[in-house]
Amino acid sequence: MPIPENRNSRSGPVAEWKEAVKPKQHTLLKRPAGTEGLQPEDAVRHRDILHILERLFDLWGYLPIRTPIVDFADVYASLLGRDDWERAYRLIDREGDVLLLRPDVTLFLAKQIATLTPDLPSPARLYYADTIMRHEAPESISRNEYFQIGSELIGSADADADLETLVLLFRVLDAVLPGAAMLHVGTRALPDAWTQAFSASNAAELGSAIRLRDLDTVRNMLAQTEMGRRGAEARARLAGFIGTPREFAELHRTLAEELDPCENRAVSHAHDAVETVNRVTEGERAVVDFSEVGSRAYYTGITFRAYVEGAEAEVAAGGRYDKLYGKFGLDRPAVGFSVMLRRLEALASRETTQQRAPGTVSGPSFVERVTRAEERRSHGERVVL
Amino acid sequence: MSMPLRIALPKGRLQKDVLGLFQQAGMPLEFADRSLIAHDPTGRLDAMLVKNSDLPVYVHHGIAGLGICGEDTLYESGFEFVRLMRLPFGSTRICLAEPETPSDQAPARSGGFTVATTLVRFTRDYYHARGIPVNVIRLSGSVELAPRLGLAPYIVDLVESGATLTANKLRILEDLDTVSVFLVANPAYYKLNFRRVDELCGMLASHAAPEFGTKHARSEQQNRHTPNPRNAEREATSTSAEGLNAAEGANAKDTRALHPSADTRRRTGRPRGTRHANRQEMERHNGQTDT
Repeated sequence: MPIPENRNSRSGPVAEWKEAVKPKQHTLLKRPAGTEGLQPEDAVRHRDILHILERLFDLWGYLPIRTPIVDFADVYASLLGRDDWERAYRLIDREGDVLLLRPDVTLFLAKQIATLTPDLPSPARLYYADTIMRHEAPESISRNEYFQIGSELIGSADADADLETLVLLFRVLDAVLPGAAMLHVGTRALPDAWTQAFSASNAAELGSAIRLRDLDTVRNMLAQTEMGRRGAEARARLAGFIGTPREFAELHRTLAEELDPCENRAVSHAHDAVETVNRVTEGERAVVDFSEVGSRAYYTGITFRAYVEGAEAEVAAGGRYDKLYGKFGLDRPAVGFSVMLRRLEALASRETTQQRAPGTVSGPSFVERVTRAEERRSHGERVVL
Repeated sequence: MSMPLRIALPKGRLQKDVLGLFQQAGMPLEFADRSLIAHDPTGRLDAMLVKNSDLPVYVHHGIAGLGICGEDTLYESGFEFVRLMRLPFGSTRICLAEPETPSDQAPARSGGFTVATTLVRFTRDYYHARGIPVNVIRLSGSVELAPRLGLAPYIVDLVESGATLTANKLRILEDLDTVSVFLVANPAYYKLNFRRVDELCGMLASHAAPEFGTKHARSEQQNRHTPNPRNAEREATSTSAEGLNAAEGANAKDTRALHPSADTRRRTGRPRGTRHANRQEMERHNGQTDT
């Protein structure tokens, strides 16, 4: 009969197991890159801003939706770009399937809608507010890509759906940082038209060159297509344009003949959207910017990003993705945006969300203190026992 | 009046040229004794002097919206920047070098071609884009010592005149790329300040260095070459490392190598902590020996 091991023994299998599960100093002090926890002060601010924004979405008629935190990775492999795929956390479940921790809400939401509620009325207006998980390089951990709040307008291909999304985004940003955000509006239709004969990697390289305004590369890559040097030069000028609708109209007059009808429609749509949005928002804070082509592979039409002074990267991004739901078997156009809420919160004034310290109650007994506290709470006062 | 643009400038070898450029453009920047911050008297710029290798970090995090930095450092950082303007100084080459005398060469490590370098990301991407497996040993300086001390048979390093290589009895096997110095911007910063940044570029281009315009105005001659370690189009100038030429020649004709697919690194790289067995090891493992 084997002799039972003394649980306090310094050797043997139990001791080895204890040693194996003991937290090591570096795992105790670090947290996985791309994740965060909120301390009370930040958590209060996060909750208050979230409450304001959820109320705003509600007033616009958007319904909340929640997506799962993990899903099967293979479903999304072709929809995430290379960088996003490499930054996504993946794990293996007990059946050996590879799971993906939610790196982007829109993708998970598209599958959820397409598979669970394919009879969703059109147009459907939804909003989400959820954590996302992506690996961040140690040098980038302050980029605050942990929590997305955003909208989805599903089932409408109208220009008005684009406008509704753009104006709603401005309202969301203004609710947190009034008057601070600038919106740059472009279109994915241009690079999509230019890269029809390109391989996927060359198309991605051209997209990246446009996004980073590397106009030499844009010009050189396009010059190798049938559009030739002159056509490439015109399109490089277009890709590099940032300015007001009026400034764009001037440029467009000089380029319109060089562009085909599809390109002219796409740029006019972005121009008209910016002009309209500036009419219903204060300060003419939207500009036409054709270097905004979106970093997500699934965009198909209008694309946009919002910038705020003091943020090291965009605070919101979005666009039209008319073919994304089709990948999951539901042929519905859609447009939406995601706000990196933690990035905005880092800039929001502490005073706007600062909470007063709760009051206290006194009394001879616990029961009496509870009774007095309940009375004051019934009048909306915050009270601790 | 709007806030001055914030720019990070590199300490060290580029500092004198950079300050001269702003002086010529009418924006003199004077750093008081040991001070690392200066303000241009016209109110256009706030400048900070930072270590060259840290500069991309400051710009990436938006602490400085603009920066002046060599392409090698920008590439190694892995961050994305808007490259606004190529500057007319500081160009250099990235070269593969080996000892002049074969007997001085460090023994090849098992598992392939081994290179010591500070340019880890560049070296890995350069060779992987050509389908060549490479073991990269990261150093942070004095790379020229590596072959002589037996760390690696080859180095990849920046070469200006080649005098340091000669002094350390090394010779250039191959020019891998040329690198230039760029004025860069944090992408979000540029989007918020594009008019003032474009104006600054215009001033630098027209007042200080008319021969180097902004990207929009750059000459066709300059446009032909965009340094890129993944660009396998150019011919190797020379190499004596057997096997490298053949692999590179084969890949130079392969259009996939021009723009490597997402899987290139996986095809030619290997997971950390693993290595390929070389031929002798495989034969030993299989119980065969050459006689």
